[in-house]
Order: sequence, then C-alpha cells, then structure tokens
Amino acid sequence: MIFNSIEYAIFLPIVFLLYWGLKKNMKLQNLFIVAVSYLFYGWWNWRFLILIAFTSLCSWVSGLLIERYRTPYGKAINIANIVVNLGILGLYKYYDFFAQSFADAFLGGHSDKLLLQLILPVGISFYTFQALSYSIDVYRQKLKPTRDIVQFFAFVSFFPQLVAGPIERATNLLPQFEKPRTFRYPLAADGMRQILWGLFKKIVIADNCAQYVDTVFNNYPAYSASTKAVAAILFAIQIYCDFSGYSEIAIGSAKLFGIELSRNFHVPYFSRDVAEFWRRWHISLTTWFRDYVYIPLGGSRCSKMKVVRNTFVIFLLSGMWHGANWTFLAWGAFHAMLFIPLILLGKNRKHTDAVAMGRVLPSIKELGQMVLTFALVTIGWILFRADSIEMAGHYIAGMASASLFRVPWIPSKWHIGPLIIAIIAMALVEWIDRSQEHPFTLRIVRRRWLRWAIYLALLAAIVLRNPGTGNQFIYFQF
Amino acid sequence: MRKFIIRTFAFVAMATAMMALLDIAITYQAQHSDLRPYWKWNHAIRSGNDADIYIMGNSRAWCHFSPAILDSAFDANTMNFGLDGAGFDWQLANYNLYRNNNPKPKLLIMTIDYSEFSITAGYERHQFFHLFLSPELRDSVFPVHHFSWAERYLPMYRYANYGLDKYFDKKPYTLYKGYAGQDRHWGEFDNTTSTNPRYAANGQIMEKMERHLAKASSEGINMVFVHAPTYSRYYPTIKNLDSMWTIVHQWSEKYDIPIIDYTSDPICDDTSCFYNPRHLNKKGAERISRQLANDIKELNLL
Repeated sequence: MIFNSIEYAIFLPIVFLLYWGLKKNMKLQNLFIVAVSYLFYGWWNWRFLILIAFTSLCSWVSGLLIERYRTPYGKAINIANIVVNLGILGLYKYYDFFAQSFADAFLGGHSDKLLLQLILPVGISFYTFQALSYSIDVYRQKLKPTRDIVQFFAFVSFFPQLVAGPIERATNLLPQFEKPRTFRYPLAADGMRQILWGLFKKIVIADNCAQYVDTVFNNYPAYSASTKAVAAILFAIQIYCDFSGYSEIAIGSAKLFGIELSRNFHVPYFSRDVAEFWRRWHISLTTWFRDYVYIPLGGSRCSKMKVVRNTFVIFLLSGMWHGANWTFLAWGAFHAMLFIPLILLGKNRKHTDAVAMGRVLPSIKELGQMVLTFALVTIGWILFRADSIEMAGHYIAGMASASLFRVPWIPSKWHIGPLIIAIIAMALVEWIDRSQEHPFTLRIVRRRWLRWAIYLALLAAIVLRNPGTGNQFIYFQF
Repeated sequence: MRKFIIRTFAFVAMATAMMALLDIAITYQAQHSDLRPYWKWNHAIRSGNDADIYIMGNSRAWCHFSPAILDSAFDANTMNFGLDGAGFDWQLANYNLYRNNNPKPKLLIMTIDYSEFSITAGYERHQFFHLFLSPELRDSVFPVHHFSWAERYLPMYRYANYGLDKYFDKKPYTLYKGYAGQDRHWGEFDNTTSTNPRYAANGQIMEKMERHLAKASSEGINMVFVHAPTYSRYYPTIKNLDSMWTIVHQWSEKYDIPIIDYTSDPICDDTSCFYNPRHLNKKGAERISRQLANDIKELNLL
C-alpha cells in the first residue's frame, strides 16, 4: 500500500477512527497499531512479515538480555544482534551484488550458480536500522529496555514510517508508545496539512519531473548538453520532492495518531555548503551514521588522517546503504570529497541556522553559496541516478559541450509550464517557512477561508497534474 | 475530536463538489474532442452520422482504410470506427452504441485479425472515461471491460489516475471520419523479436460475434470480412491463423459473407507501404483503400 493510492486514502481514515475509538486504552491502541501496521506492510508481500517480526523479536530479546547479562555478555549479545540483523540485510540487499562482482572479477562473469536472486523486502534498510539503534542504545545505557513486546513491535513497525522512514530512534518513539495518547486538534490538523503538502510534492512535482528525467536518462546520448543539464536539475528536484514528500506524509499521518516523528528534511536546497546540506538532507539516516559509526570511530576528535578516514567511511556506508551498485558508492565518495575540506578547515559547522534569518531575501553571497551547493549536489545526483559509473561519466562529460547554450528539449508546454509553476510555488512556500517545524505551516496566512482555499487549490493541482504513472516512491527500493 | 471530524467532513464535501465540477468540465472537453480515440465513441453516441459504409476493426482498420477514397468511389458516406488495440468486444460495444443512435449502414466492413477474439487488455482505457457520466453509456461499456468502483463513482479519480495530459495534448491524431493516414516510414524489422503470442480465442466473444452476424444478416446489412495486408516475412510468425480462419470461413458460408484477403497481395512485400510489419503507412493505406473499393465493386456489395 503506497501513500499516493486509493487504498491508503481508505485505510487511513478507517484506522484513524478505530484507533481513537479505543478510548485512551494504551495497550489496545498499541496492539491495534501493530495489527494495522502488519496489514499495511503485508499488502506488498505478506511473506516478508516473518522477516520484520524476526528482526523485531531479535532486537527486543537482545535488549532484555543485554540488560540482564550486561556483565560480562552485554557486548557479545549486542554484537550478535547486529550481526544477525545486518546479515539478513546483507543477504537480501547485497549478496547478489558482491557475488556478481566476484564472478565478473574471477569467473569471467559466469554467476548463474552464485546468485540467489532474492526479492528485496520493501523498507528493510529502514526498519533494520531502527531496530538496531534500540539494542545499541540499550547497550550504551541510553535507554531502558522495554518489557512490553507489543510496544516494541509497534515501535519497529509503526506503519507511517515503516517502509521509508524517518528512521526513528527508540529514545524518541518508544516513550510515545509507553503512555496513553490523547487526541490533540492542532497536532492532527497540522498532520493533515503535512499530508497534503507531501502529496503535492510527490504527485505534482516529483512524478512530473520523473517523466522528463526518465526520458532523457534512458536515452541521454540523443540529447543536447542543455537538456542533460535540465534533466539533472529536475532529478535533483524529483528526488527531493519524492523523498521529502514521503516523509511529510509519514510525519503527518503519525500526527493523526498523536505520535510525533523526527524531522527528516529541513529545506536542504537552501544550504550554503555541503556540510549544511547533510545536516538538512535525510536527517534521520545522517544522524544514525553519525551516532553509531562516525563518533565510535573517533569522529572529528582525532588526528586529521583519522578524520578523513572516518568521513570517508560514513559517506561510503551511506552510499552503500542506498543500494548495491558502484554508483551509490561513487556518490558517497563524491560527497566525502566535498565534505572533507570543510571539516579539515573547521568550517563544517559554519552554517547551523536557517539562511537569511530575519530577512525576506538572502544576500547575493548567500544566494551564490546556495546555487553553488545545489550545483555540486546535482552533479552528485547524476552519479546516483545513472545505471553505471561509465554512464555517469558520459553523462557529465556530455554536459560540457557547446550545446549547453542551445534551447533544451521541451516535450510539451502543457507538461513543462505547470511543472515550472509548481516548482516555483514549492520553493516559495518552503522559503517562507524555512525556519519552521515543517515547510507548510501556513503561519503567515491568518484567515481560515484563505487557508482552505489554498488546500483546495493544492488538491486540485494534485488531481489535475497527476501524470497517471502511478510512480512508487524512489526510496522504497532502499 | 468532534471539531476535527466536522471540519474534515466539511473539507471533503467541498473537495468532492470541486472534483464533481472538474469532472463535468473534463468530460465535456472529451465529449467534444476529435482526437483519437474519443472520436470513435463520441460519434457512436451521436445521431446523424448516417454512414452508408461502417468500417469495424482494430488499428488495422482505422489506419488502413480511407473513408475519403471509399466515399469518392461509391458516392457514399463512409465512417471508419476501427479502434486501436481493440478486440471484437470493444468493437461490438462501439457498433451497438452507434446503432442505438443511427440507422443501419448499407455495408459493414469487418476487418478480421488474429487477436480479434481474445479479451482486450487495458489498452487506452481512458477512451471510455468520458462516457461514465451517463449510466446508460457506462453500463453499455462495462460488460466489455471492467473498471474499479473508484473509477466509476469517485469524481475525477479515473481522469487523475490515468493522467490528464491525454485529454489536452494535441499530439494524438486528429481524425477524418475516423481515419488518419500514418505519415511514417518503415523501420528495421527484427524477425527474432517479432514472434507473436498465441492469442486465445474467448468462447463468449466468439458467441457475441455469431449473434452479431446473425442480427446484421437478419437486418439485411451487407457484410464483408477483410484480412488486411501484413508484411510477408512477419506473416508466418502468426500462430493461430489457421484455427481462426477455419471459423471465419464457416461464418462466411453460413451468413453468405464474402472474404477479401490481402495477405498475398504484392503490397505485402513492399516495405515502402508499411511503417511496421502489421501496419500500412499513408501510402500503403491509400493504395489498399483503392484496391478495396475495386473489390467491393466487383463483389457488387453496394
């Protein structure tokens, strides 16, 4: 069941009404959340429910065992849980990739007997990391293990964030399942707003960008440099609107149930350097790697050589997390190379607040910094989007030609005109709310009728500009 | 909670009203569209077409037979209702709609194809959507193709879910009496990738055909089966020809319907007349339309 489907439009209100009909009975509410989350996940493939149940059970049992046998077995139990969970993830997500690479290197490409060709379970990277963070936090004594298995299963499988995040920490989400939820009108109304905004970004912008992007990337040698550049920019916008759109819908849906999830995106394309970009892009994954990999390796409080190594490690892991392809590794390495100079010069935390705070417009310098950062990130997205490193190389090289100054390919005015208007509208709205809790608070619109008119306009745009391609969210594949 | 539900309900009500208005506007636009494929259905539901010659079939009818050539040959009114990608189920639905609103044609040209009697998959399903506002029309289409309840009853859902570009983009052909000559050229024919699936004839659709032939015959409508040209190297790859033509010959004898077979015509070797192995381009279509006019004259069908 995907968020932009009629099934979810029916599922969500029914679940909402039944959930609040349970009258603040915390245990029943949690049990209900587990049941509907498993229904939601099983909609794709019920067989994978066994996998998520096993992952949840392992981490829950590990938490209890770590607490009970902390000395002398706590570390061993924690490591065992990590090995089991990452082993499952590795088997489904990476085994074939490494087997194929091995066969290419040593067996002349004959990989038939080596490959398992397993179907990748939706969201496995997300819920595995979420479950792992729990046992690690228990081991680090940042968290008391829960004895309530239903609470824990609800934490791992909570349907809004189950398949594509945000990757929640037990320290944030688990306590919310430990107390009765009461309905809060402002929270629920805010959730509805976020759902609408997420759908707008996904359907009106991301799915329409995808049509142009897919056409060009699938046959890039046939297009001019300017068209390639436009497609790369549109892919940067597509992936942002697709993934942040998903996160908005997830966070909004959770709010309807009285649950507050972590923020996953914070206007990343208004960043003034790559370090700021990474504080604002896929925040839940970035902070996961920071807390569970980067800092344990020594972080930035060690020799410069080690800082470089640590930075490379987390960016390569981040790339690898996205998928089993050399392009993702190259994407991670590219960002590491952009990040390392900043960290070595001590400028990686130069921009910690929102850009142009207290001003309507950015300065020329800030604008230049944002454009440069966006351009660098967009080059990185070409690596991310390409089928192979060779293709990415050809694509980038193809952009450096005289045809860069030609008019780019425009499929039809009916398609591209409204898309440009939607992108500008989105950028304006997110600029106005860049320092707010989420990018669509509409805090400056005081009159209710005007807010409702905006909601209806967004809804009309969603319906009228749906390209009808039924695109899945990009991050479902990770 | 109460306040939230009331406001959500109010918003949903307003949104539904807005969607209903949009639905009516889009439907009106499509009902007055001359773009393929809406033309076929829009003309089927209108009276006053008064076709002397009604051409029935799939894409191998709609882009092969020019009404202008047949009109000038017979001083008649020809309309081409060939439906791209359609099996006989859709073709019959279209013909029945036409007959509900128009007098019988003098001649019914039925192009018979090897995928004719299998169930039509969801090809260009949006061609039906603008018919849904009328329950009578909607129900006349339903038996031949299934639509979800959301497509049937939620305003705008069917349009949004299929993409509205198709209703406004001017790229699809504008038709002349249902026909558009394809100004395209032959591409490379790859024999290895052109193997055909074996289309399974559906018993219910065969029965519909039998009833259709019996009814048209009882109404005194002249009929002719036409097998449109197919590129000669492609023809042997078609798998279910023999079994299908055995049945067509039985119908031919039973209802006294002549068969015009162009699959051994010299045009089938001439790639300058095709744009792909199954479809003639404009040059080929005009040539075969003149040939069809001559053959109809020889058979004294009109």
